[in-house]
Amino acid sequence: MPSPLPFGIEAAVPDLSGPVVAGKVSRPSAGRGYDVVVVGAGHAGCEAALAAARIGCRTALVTLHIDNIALMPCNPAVGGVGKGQLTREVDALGGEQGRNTDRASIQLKMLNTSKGPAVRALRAQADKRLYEDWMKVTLSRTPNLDVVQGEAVGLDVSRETIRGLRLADGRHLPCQALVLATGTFLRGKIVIGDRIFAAGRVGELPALRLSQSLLDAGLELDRFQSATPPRIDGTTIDPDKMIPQEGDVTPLSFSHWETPSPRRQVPCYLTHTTGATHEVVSKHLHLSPLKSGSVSGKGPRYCPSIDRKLINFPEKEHHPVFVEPEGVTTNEMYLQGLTTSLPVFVQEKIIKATPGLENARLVRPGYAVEYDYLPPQQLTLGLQTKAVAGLFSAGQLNGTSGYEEAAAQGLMAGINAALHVRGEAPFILRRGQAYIGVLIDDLVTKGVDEPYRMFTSRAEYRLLLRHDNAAERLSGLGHGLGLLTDEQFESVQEKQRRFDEYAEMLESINIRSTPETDALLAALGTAPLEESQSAGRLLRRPQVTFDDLLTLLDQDDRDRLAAAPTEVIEQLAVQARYEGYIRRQLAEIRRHRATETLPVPDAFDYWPLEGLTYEAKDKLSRLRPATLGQASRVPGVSPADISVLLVHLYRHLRSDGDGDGAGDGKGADGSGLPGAADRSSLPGVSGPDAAGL
Amino acid sequence: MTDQVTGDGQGAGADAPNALVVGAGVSGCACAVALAGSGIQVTLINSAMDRVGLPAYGPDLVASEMGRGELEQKLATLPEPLRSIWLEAGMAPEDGGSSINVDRRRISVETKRLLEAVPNLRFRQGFVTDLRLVQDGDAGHQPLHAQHPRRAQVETIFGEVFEADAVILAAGLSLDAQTEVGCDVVQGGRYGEPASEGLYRALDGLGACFQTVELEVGARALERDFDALAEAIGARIANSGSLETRHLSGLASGSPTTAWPEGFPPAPHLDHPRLAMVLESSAASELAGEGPVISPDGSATREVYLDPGVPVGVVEDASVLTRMPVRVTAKTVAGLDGGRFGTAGGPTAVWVVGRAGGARTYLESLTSGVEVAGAVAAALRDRGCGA
Repeated sequence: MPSPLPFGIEAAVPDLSGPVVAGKVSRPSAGRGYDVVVVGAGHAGCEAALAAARIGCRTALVTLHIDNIALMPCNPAVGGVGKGQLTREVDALGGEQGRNTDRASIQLKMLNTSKGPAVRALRAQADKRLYEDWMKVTLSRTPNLDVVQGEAVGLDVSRETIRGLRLADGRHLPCQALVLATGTFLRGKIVIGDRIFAAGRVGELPALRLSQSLLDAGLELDRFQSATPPRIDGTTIDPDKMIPQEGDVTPLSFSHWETPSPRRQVPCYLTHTTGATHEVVSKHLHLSPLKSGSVSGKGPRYCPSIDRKLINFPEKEHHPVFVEPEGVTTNEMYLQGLTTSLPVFVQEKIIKATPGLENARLVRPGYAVEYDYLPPQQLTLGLQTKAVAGLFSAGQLNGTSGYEEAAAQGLMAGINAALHVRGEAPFILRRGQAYIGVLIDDLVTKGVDEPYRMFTSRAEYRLLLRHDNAAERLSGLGHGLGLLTDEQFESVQEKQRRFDEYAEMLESINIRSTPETDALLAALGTAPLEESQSAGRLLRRPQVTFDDLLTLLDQDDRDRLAAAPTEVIEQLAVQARYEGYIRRQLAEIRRHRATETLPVPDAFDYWPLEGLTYEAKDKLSRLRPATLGQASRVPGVSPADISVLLVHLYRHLRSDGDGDGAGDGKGADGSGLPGAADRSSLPGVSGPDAAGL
Repeated sequence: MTDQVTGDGQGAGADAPNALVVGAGVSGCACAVALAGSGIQVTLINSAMDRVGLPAYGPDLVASEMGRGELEQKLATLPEPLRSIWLEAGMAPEDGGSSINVDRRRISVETKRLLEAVPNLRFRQGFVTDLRLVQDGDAGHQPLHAQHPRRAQVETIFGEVFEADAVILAAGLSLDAQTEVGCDVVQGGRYGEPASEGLYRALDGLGACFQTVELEVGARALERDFDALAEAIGARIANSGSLETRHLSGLASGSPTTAWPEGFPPAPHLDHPRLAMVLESSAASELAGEGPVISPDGSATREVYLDPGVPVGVVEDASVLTRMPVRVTAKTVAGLDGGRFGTAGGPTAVWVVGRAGGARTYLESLTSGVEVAGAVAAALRDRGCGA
C-alpha cells in the first residue's frame, strides 16, 4: 500500500524502500560480546542505545516486549513548559526524541508565547502508534545496534565492575558498559481501588528478578508510585460543551535537522471538574489506595491524581481536564487531569459528572503503578553508579517522570557508556549550558523524594537556556561526539554566521532624530530620540518590535534587514530585549565558574576538616560530589560549609604539588573535570549566547 | 443488555441482545466483528489493548500447502473489511509457492481501527479472572450439565463484573499456559503476558474437559543478516542447487480499503515486494517436504521469522536472535459442539473460539470466530432475545 502523502507534497522523511544498510554492521562474534548493553526499550533506553551505537559501540537493546518499544503509556504528548526544552536539547545534541515526535505529531503548539522567551516551549500531541513505529524503524536501521527480546535477571559484576548481563532464558551478554532503563517494571504492582496485582503495565508481566541482582551489586532501591488517567471512547464525547484547543498554524518542529511535512492537526478539548465531580470523589475517597494505604510509594506532586488534588486543594472549585486524542487511527482519548486509582465504578461516575463527558464511555480505567526506583544520589554526574563501574542508570528508574526527562537521561547515559568503553572522560553538561545539566545535577546532588518533573523555575539560567538557542549551545558538542554530521553542524554555524551578520547590520544602521522618527516613536508610546542611535540600540526598547523598527528605516536599510530569516529576527529581538539580563547571567556564570567547577578529589576526606558541621561531613562523605559547585547543592550543606571547604580545597591543592588530586587513577567522574571542561567548549560559536563556556 | 453489576449496576439501556467476547486476538476480533454485524450489542473485553488483533505466533498464515486461490476462498467468509485487512497484509511468493506470510503489526493496527469503527461494538480493558453462570438471577459455579444457563458473568482483575446472554471465550493459548524460553519457564501463552489462571479454574469448575496443546514458535533474527542466515542454514533449492531468492507480492488485488487518513504523516509501513526464501535444508523437516522458511515478520522491526526446526546455535552465528524460539503449552477446551460449551443441544451461554477451542492456524481462528458468531446470533434469536 503506497503511503498517501497530502497534496503531492514531498515529505522529508527517510527513504524506507530500500534494503537495510548492511555495510557498517559489526556482527557480534560467536562470543556475543557487546560494548554496551541497554536494559529497557522505553524513552530512555532507546536514546541510550541509539547514542551508543551511533558513536560506534556494538550495542544491544534488551526488552521484555519488542512489540512495545517506545510505548507512550501515559500522556500522548511530548514537550511542554520545561520538558519541551529538554526534548529540544536532546535533538540539538543528536538524540532522537525531537525527530521522532515531529514524525508522529498530530498537533503542535508553542506555549507561553505571550510571556518571556525563557519560558516559551513547544508541545506536541503525538499519534502513539506512529511514535512507536518510527522509533522501531530507526532502531532497526541503525548499524551496530541489535534489539533483543528477553528478561534481564542478573548483572554480572566482579571487582565492582560490570562484566555482562544474564537473561532469564540462559543467554549471557558480555559487555563493558550497561545502561539500566527499566522504567516502572521493577517489581511493578498495579493498584486500582482495592485490587492489587503484579504488572509492569496492564496486560504485561513485571520484571521480578532483576531487583535482587541490583541489591546484590550494592545498589539501594526504594519505591515510587505513578498513576495514569482513564481513556475514553472519543466518539462519545460532547465537544460542544468543551473548549477546543487547536494547534498553531505556523509550522513548528522540535527537530533542527528535518522539516516535517505539512499536515492536518487535531484539536484537544478543555473541560473542568465540577462540584458534582468533587462530591463523587469525596464520597468514595475511602476507596482510594492513597487513603487505604495500599500504595506505599510516594507519588508525583505535580501530576497528582484527582483524589490527591481534592485532598490537597479542597477549596478549589474547578480543576482543568484536557481531553486529548491518542492518535488519528484510534478513537481513544486521554483524560489529562483525571489521573486516579479509584475503583472503576467511581471513575465512571467522575467522568459522567464532567461537562462534555456525560455520555463518555470508559475504555481503559486509570490506575496506579508502584515500582522500584534507584535513588539517584547513587549516581555520578555522568549517570554512572558509584557502586559498580560501567553501570549506568537512566529514566524513570532514577525517580523522574516524563518521557522528556527520560530521553534526556537516556541520551547522556548512552553517551557516557560509550565514552566509558573508550576510556574517555565523561560528558557532563553544566547548569548554565542546558536543562539537561540542571536535570542531572538536581537528581544526583539533591536526590528525589517524589517523581521529578522539569520546570523552567528549576533553571537559574533559564534566560540563556532557550528553545531558540539550543542548537547554538549544544550542536558543537553533539558533533564532537559523533552524533551529528558535518552538514548538520555546518548548518548551525551557517545560521550563527547569518545571525552575526544581521546583528552587525543592526549596529551599523544609524537612526537619526527627526520629527518623523519622533512622531512614530511617540505613537509607539516611547520617548523620542535625543541623539542618533543604532537600530540595534533602539530595538532594545520593549515598545519597539522588529517590524516597528523597519518602519523607521529608509528603503535600502529596510530591504536589507527584512531579508533576515524569521528565526534570526526572533533571536535578534530576544537578544536585544533581554540583553541586560543575559549579560548579567553570563557574568554570574563566569564569576562562579572557578568555584563551580573546582574539582573535589575523589578520595577527599571530609571528616577531619575543622569548621564543617557534622551534617555536612556526613552528607558530603556519602554523596561524594565531584565539584565544589555540586557540593554547594547537596541538601544539608550550608554556604558557610562551602566557604570552609573552599579554604581546605585550596590548601589541599597547594600541598598536592602536581595538582592531580588524590590520585584516583580511574579517570572516571570525580576528578576528570578538566576533561569535561574541554568537552564543554563550543568551537565556532560567538555572540553573547556563548553561555560562559 | 450488557449490565455492569458492580457499583450501581447501571445498564446499557438498549433492547438489543448482547454478547461479551473475552480476548481480542485473531479469533476474538473476527467473532466480535461478525456478531456486531448481525445487530448484536458486543462488548470486547481485552487486557492487552495495544496488541489488539495481533497474530502472536509467527507470520505464517497457514500450516501447510495452500494456494492463493484456495486461501482467498477461505477468507471469503470473513466480513469486510476484515477480509481485506488480512489480504492486504498478506504476501505470497510470486511463483505460486505455498508459504503465505502476513505483516503482523499491520494487521494489529488495522484491526483495531476497524473494530473501533463498528457500531454496536465497544472495547473494555480488563483481564478476566472468573466466569460464572447465571440461573434464576443467581450467579454460581455449578457444573453445566446441571442447568440450562441463559446468562453468564465474567469478572475482571479490576473488580468489574459483566453479564451477558452469550459469553464467547477467545482466550487463545492462555489457559493454564506456560512458555518455555531457553532454560526459563514463564507463565502465559504469549511472552510477557500473564496466564489466564482464574478463567481456567472457572472452566474447570464448570466441568470443562481440556486437552493439552504444545506449540512451537520459531525464533526471529534480523533481516539485515538475511544472506548470512540463508548461507548458515545451508539451504539450497532442490532443483537449481544454489540459493535463490523469491519475490513476494501482496495478496490484495484491489486498492487498499483502510488507508491512513489524508493529511496525516504516513505510517512507516514498508511496501511490497519483500524477500523471502524457501529453503531446503540438509536436516529433515516436518513441514510436508518443505524446508525451513525464513519469512519477513513485520514492517517496523524488520525481523525475519525462522521455522522452529532451525538450530539456535546456527542462527546466533549468523545473526542475532531478536526473539528466542519458544514452546507454548496450554489447555484448550475439548468437546465443544460447534463452539458451544456445555449441554449438548441445550441452550448455552458460553462459547469458545479460536485456539482456545482447538484452532491451529490463524485461518482456522478466523473462520471459527465467524462461524461461532453465526451460531451465537442464531441462538440468541431463537431464544427470543430480539435482534
